[in-house]
Amino acid sequence: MRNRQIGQAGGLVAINRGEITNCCSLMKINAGKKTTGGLVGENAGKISASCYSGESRRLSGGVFGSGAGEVKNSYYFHSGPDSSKRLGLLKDPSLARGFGTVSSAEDAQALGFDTESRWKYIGGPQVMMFNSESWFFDVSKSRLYSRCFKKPLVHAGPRDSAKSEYENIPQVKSIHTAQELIAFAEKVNAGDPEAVGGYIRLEDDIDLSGMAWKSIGNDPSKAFKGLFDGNGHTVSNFVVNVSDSIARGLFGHLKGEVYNLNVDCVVQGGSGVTAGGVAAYCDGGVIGCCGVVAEIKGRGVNLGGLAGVNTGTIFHSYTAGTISSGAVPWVLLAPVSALIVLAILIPALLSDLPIFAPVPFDDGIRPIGDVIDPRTGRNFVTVQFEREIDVNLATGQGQMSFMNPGTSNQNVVVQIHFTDAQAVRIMGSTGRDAGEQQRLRDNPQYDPENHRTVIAQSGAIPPGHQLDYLTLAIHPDGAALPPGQHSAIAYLIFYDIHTNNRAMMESQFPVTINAHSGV
Amino acid sequence: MKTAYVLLTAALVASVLFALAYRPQYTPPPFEPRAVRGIPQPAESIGHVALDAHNFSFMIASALYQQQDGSLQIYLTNLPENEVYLMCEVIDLDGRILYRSGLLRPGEYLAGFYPQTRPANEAIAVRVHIYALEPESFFSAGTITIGGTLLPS
Repeated sequence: MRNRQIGQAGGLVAINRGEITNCCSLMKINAGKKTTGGLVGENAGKISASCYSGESRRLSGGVFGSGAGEVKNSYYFHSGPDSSKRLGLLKDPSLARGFGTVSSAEDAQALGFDTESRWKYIGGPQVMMFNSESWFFDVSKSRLYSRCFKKPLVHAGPRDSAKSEYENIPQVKSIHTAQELIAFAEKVNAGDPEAVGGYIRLEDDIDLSGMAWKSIGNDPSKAFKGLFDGNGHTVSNFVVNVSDSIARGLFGHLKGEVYNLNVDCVVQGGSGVTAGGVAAYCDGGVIGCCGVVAEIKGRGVNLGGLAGVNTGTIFHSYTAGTISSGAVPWVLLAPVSALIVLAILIPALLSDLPIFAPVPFDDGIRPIGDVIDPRTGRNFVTVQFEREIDVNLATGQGQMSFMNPGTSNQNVVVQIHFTDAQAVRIMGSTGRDAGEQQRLRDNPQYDPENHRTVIAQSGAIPPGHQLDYLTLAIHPDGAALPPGQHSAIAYLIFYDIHTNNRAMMESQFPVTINAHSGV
Repeated sequence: MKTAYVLLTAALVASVLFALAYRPQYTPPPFEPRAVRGIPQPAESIGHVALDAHNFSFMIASALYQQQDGSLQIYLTNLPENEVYLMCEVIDLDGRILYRSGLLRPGEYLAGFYPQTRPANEAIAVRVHIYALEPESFFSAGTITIGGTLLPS
């Protein structure tokens, strides 16, 4: 299903339906799947004498990512070769220029930038910046200035009908502190007409101390319609992330004019959000001689460095900072997920490392059918088996019907022993190879009447299981059990079912072997 | 991005199921790198006592002193006539393994070893487990447990 939230991103503006002139962006943009332009995401308006020089991933276009608007004398300055494959994938490859191709003010002038008054060539990756001497707008030339700010003259003497009834004195509201700016914003959002249409001038840099900022004019019905003169000052250190507004910036909806203002902030997006450092929506307004250094991040729909959506006029402004869609990049996802998987697996892999190897279960075991509920607390075993073992010499199998009930907490290994002396009498030898037997004889403590030889051995029989047949051992020297009745010893070895530790107490019982040829 | 989350979720679920079902394949303990052939002669203050188990015997220090560097002089000796490997663990009453050795072959001894977890420098009640393993198969040949006190340096 297509993600409808994908949207646009632009270093200056996400969606332009107005005019952009003499602007530049240095934004580093990583906006995921958004249609991304270095300067403008989607252009349906006009762009002229503007440029983008920044590092960005997955640009759709160097200057504009999509749209059929007018673009004049605007370029994307980049570090790679002009013939690079990456440039060929851009929407506007003809607007790409390598840094090296603009090596003087004359080169920039030739591209259409006014390097005599507005721009200053600085070279390097940035190429150009604004000429600081001309980077200030005289607000008295604003269309709002003369229209809005008049008050009736107070006559001290006879009226002169030739003179105007009004004195042109701007009714400016000066803002010196963060509290005053906050109060102004609250009045605009409350719909106070004096604030909404007022003439505001910053008299000082404003540090908002990291506060969560509610955009000025956060609702279209309360858009700021007045004149805001930053006076060359900066509003900094605020975060626009108030969840009840989808228009996020210093201004939410701007129908008025903003000049000479620097903004340094963080704007966090969200579902359906349109974001811009100065204004989310420049609704027919004007933004001039403004600068934004911002971190614009989050899912949002339209993310722009200066403005989210512009239907007005933006001129002589710049942006720097980052725009990111907030998604975890693949390059981080792999190691993070690997760490999580290891954090789950490592305890399992390292836990219960056994000291002892488990004795393998006998292939011939079968369940008894009782409840397997090993007792806890101490070693416990009960067993049941035939004391007379019928041995079929043809098959080598002795029927013992050995049962280890489900309440045991030990695996049992069953051995059938002859003493060495018995083995020699019955089978002709102990069954050991000559070397091993000689080593025993050489041991002064060796006693053939007590030393045992194993003539049959099972695998482990776990609790709740039964072994019907025990297999006779095949001796290295070929010694075999002859037909007849023979006394032997059933020797039981116990291993803890959890640790495989062999119990120090072992049991033995006398048994009788009835060996026959199997007929 | 959705694909990435699906893959990550699948990997996490698979890891959890594997961790629940996993039974580690047996790997024998390593042989003790500090093992020395012969029979040690520890100081009289430490002493050296022989003990017989069902099918093996060994010697061990009579007193367990924790040294200043945290090591323990144990003088665990796998006597030459044994047909088993021996190793030991010193465990406190909370079940925490303080010291663990590697395997000693018949005729080898371990004079001292360093802690897995550095114990406090005070008298600590401990259990010393001596594990015997059959050569080649590494099946258990029995375990002896000795109660004692780890004495401070």
